[in-house]
Amino acid sequence: MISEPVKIAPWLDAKQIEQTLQDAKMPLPRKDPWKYTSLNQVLQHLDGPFEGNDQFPASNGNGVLIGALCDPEIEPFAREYVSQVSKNSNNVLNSVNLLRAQQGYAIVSCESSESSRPAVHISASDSCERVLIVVQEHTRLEVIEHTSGGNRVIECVLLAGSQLLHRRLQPASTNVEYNSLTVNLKENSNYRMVQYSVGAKLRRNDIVVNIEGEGAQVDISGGWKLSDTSHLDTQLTVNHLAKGASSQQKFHGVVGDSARAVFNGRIYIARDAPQTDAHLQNKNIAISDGASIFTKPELEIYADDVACSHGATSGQLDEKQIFYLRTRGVPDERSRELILEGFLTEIVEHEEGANVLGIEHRGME
Amino acid sequence: MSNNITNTPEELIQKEYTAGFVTDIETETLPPGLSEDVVREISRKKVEPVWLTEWRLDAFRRWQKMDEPTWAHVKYPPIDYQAISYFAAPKGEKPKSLDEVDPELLRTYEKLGIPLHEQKMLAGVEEDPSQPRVAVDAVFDSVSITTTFKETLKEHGVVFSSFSEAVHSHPDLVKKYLGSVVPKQDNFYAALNSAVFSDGSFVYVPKGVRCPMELSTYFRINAENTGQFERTLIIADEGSYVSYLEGCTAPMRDENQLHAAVVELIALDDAQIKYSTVQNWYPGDENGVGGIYNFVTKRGACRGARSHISWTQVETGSAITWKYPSVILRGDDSIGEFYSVALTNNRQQADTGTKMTHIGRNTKSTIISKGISAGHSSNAYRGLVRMNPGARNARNFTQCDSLLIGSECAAHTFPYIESRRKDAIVEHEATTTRVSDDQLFMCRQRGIEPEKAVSMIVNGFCRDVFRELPMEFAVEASKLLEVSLEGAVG
Amino acid sequence: MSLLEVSDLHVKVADREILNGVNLEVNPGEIHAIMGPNGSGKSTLTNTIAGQEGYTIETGDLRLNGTSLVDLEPEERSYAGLFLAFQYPVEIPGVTNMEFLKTAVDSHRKQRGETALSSVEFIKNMRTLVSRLEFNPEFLKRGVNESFSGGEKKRNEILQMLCLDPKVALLDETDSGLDIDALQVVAQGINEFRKPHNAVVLVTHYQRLLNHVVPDFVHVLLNGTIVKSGDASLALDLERMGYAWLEQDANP
Ligand SMILES: Nc1ncnc2c1ncn2[C@@H]1O[C@H](COP(=O)(O)OP(=O)(O)OP(=O)(O)O)[C@@H](O)[C@H]1O
Ligand SMILES: [Mg+2]
Repeated sequence: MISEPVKIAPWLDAKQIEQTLQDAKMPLPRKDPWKYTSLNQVLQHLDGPFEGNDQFPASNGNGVLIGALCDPEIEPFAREYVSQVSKNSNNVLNSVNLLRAQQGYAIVSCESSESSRPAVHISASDSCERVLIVVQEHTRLEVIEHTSGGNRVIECVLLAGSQLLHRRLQPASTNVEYNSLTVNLKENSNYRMVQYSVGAKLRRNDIVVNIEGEGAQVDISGGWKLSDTSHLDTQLTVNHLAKGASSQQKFHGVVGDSARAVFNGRIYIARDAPQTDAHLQNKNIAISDGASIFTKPELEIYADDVACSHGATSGQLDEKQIFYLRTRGVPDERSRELILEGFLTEIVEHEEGANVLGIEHRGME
Repeated sequence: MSNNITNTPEELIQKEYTAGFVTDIETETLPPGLSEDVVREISRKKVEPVWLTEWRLDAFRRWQKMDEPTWAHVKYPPIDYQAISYFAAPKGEKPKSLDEVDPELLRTYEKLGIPLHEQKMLAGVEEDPSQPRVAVDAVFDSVSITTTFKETLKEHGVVFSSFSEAVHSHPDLVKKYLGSVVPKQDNFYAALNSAVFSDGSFVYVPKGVRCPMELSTYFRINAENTGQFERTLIIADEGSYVSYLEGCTAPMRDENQLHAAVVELIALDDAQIKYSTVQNWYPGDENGVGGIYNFVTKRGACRGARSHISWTQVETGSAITWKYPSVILRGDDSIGEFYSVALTNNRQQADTGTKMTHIGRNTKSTIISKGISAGHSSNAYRGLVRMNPGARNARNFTQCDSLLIGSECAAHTFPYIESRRKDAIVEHEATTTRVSDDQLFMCRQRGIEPEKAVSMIVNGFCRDVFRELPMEFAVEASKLLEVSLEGAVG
Repeated sequence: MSLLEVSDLHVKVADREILNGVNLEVNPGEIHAIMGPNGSGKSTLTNTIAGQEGYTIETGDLRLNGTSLVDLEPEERSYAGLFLAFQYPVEIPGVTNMEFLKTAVDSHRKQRGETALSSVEFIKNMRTLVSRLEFNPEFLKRGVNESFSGGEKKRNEILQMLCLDPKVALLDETDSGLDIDALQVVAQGINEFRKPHNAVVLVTHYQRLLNHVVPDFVHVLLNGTIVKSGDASLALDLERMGYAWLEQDANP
């Protein structure tokens, strides 16, 4: 029992958070959304210890405010949004993070122009941290996030007409890692995210996107390439709560050795969200016999005037494609590499992403 | 002045349930409640061998320790299992021939359009080859009333009888296969069924025999406050083929009635079983009062190499449907198929789908699911495709489409895919659409009335599934859909 | 009495006035062409006449054979003899063309108190029509407009017109997206359809269809009103000069 105030945000009542934690139903191990990933292992990990990290992210330009949650300049934003953004996601692990967090900071975009978009780098660290990102009205921001071990909970709000480009880089790691991200979008805002992941001992990414404003747009893609005994679990939920919004989700994964890829992509469309356009695709290629793929695209639809689809596949390399390349003189091994690269390249948009996945970057930034 | 077009799709679905009448017949019913004594009493009434009584009791004890599943996307008040009567049968001895059957019962089946007179089917003015013969097992509440064409089938060595009869006539087969696909502790409702099942159908098709006619069982719940717990067991021996159809109706009553059936299919080497269901249990009224709770466990085992099991279902009835006809693909090169149309209207709720478990090599499965939601209903597809490590070159293709009619209904898709095999291929696609105003307008511009247009569009949406039904049932299914959609549109 | 009469028609779509006072009189045996720039309201006019939802008639009247259409349902307008070939025909997956056409024809027969055609008879009739429009007969078994090419969809509209034999046919850009041969086929279809007792209203952007189907009148629809009417030569003028000169006329 912790009875001190919340270290990173002293205005929050730790007792009350503990109470909500106690009242909340703990997720059940071996049941959705913890069917294929050990909840106990993650809970143990959240118990620490963490190395910690006291550096704030750096920004390459002006127009961004970065500081501790209790920094006087930041505090008004923190009071408004911390734990509020994610309050409807019912994720008790977010509350655990709040009580344990060693560090809490916010990134607030204040101004940007058509020509400049400030970029902020959040580095990887083995720490338990809480991050708030506020993209203010009609501003644009780019966040490049590295994860590797630790527990990071990000709450992110995109105010009307704003834009956020979020790249998440998840390099190889021997740690357990738990990331939770909640993004709330107001009218006509635009959230674009790409996540690049390779193996970790256990890496779980919970992503919840709430479209609360009309006409908002979401585009999320991800690629993974897993080997050894690594375990990656991505649980994505897109909640369409306002009308006339669109969301696109696309994930491609390659799984080798005895690695395990878990993906759950849920599209929820509330009754109040007609004229929604939402699509999700998850494709997987297994390249070894020990590899396991568990995927579940879900649709939960309460409005009729919508265009929704999802698809998921799991399979191996297409032997016909390989044969084609071989008839053109490309050796077998190289043919396979090329086809896998092509498959992943479909989602790669950045040099760094290509680097994480260990493939050549052919696209344009 | 304006273009006064009033009918929207929503306004056109208003269901009329034509099978909702009650048969006035004296019934012998066990008092409500469930205990070991009740289980023993059911077994005693059926003069069952000791092993079966013990089997039931074991299931009952396991059931007592189990919890009702809550994961399905359906909502209903708790069921009081002690308020249900577990056995109801028309009074008197079981009739030995059709002449002895109570005329009131015969009229019931006549009204439902179920042929119980073999002659009628045989002695048409001229035999119509487009009207294949159908053998029927008619189950009324807890017992089988009659089974037609038994003699003809016997000539081919096909056994088609009520389950109770099979327990005595083919004890070895029953003992060997009962619970071999759906173990008695499989799930809450299967355990309950195993304890109290009353009657159902039994089919055995011997080696190399192609069953000469469609077999069908017609289930009718009539008595008040009773549950129906039937048990069906179909065994297709090596190289045999059988096509089986199941139909169901119930009177309109204000209370919810429980139907918890278990169906087990076994296909040995090179055997094929085609199992079709046209389910039209009473769905409740437009406010969600009454209707059947249809909690059913259906599973087929492709035990043999190259065996083939297909489930085709057209579900328009029941207040709540909870059912996942599944196939365990154990035999190499075996095939599993699931074709489903599930229509929900008013306050109906359906959580239905399938499980395909690939164990053998080169096993193949196909899933085509069409969900239609109208009114305030909720319709969910839940599926699992599992590729086990030994399932070399296994394949699955799933297409799962939802059609929404009206803005108050809901459609969900929960497909689990689990692959532990590099060369296994799983493909899943799902879409959600609605009957668009443009489609409706185009039909109306050509002179097609809105009700007709919607039912035509919905039928078109279901075409891939109807194609899989035996001809005469496809027509029935399509008509059923039309009736169920009445008033849904406008 | 004129066959189709549109008088002082004002129509709102999504709270915007799109048509403001359209007048049109079509007599038996006539062919009218309506031309006008994109967005001028041509489809709005044809859709309103056919009774499409969302087109609110503020004032004005529509009459077919003297009977007002305004309060009739779309299918009732169809029974009254009105046909609309859509600019963008929709797809109805799984419903075969045959089934669709038979249902439509039977509905019309029922209205007239006639019995439904037997399938055999119907198929026979269809076969002839289909070959006249140079369709592969297989196409009757395909879903309505399902994965049809743009041109096939348009030819399918003509097929439906010939099948239902209306009094007034409104053809909204049925000539768009047709190859040279298909244009001939469609023109031939329209000419065959023409009878002294019926009429055709063609919405088109190009002269090329009018070379084969010569209109008696050409109207120019601009910003929701007919700003100019003339004979077939007006279409040639438009082809040469565009619409700009008329716009000046319209907004002095
Ligand atoms: N449902 C609608 N909602 C809003 N505006 C509409 C709607 N339908 C038509 N409009 C508008 O009405 C105007 C007239 O459209 P219409 O389709 O009648 O033009 P058109 O003359 O047929 O053009 P085209 O030659 O491109 O087919 C356009 O500005 C169009 O955007
Ligand atoms: Mg137009």
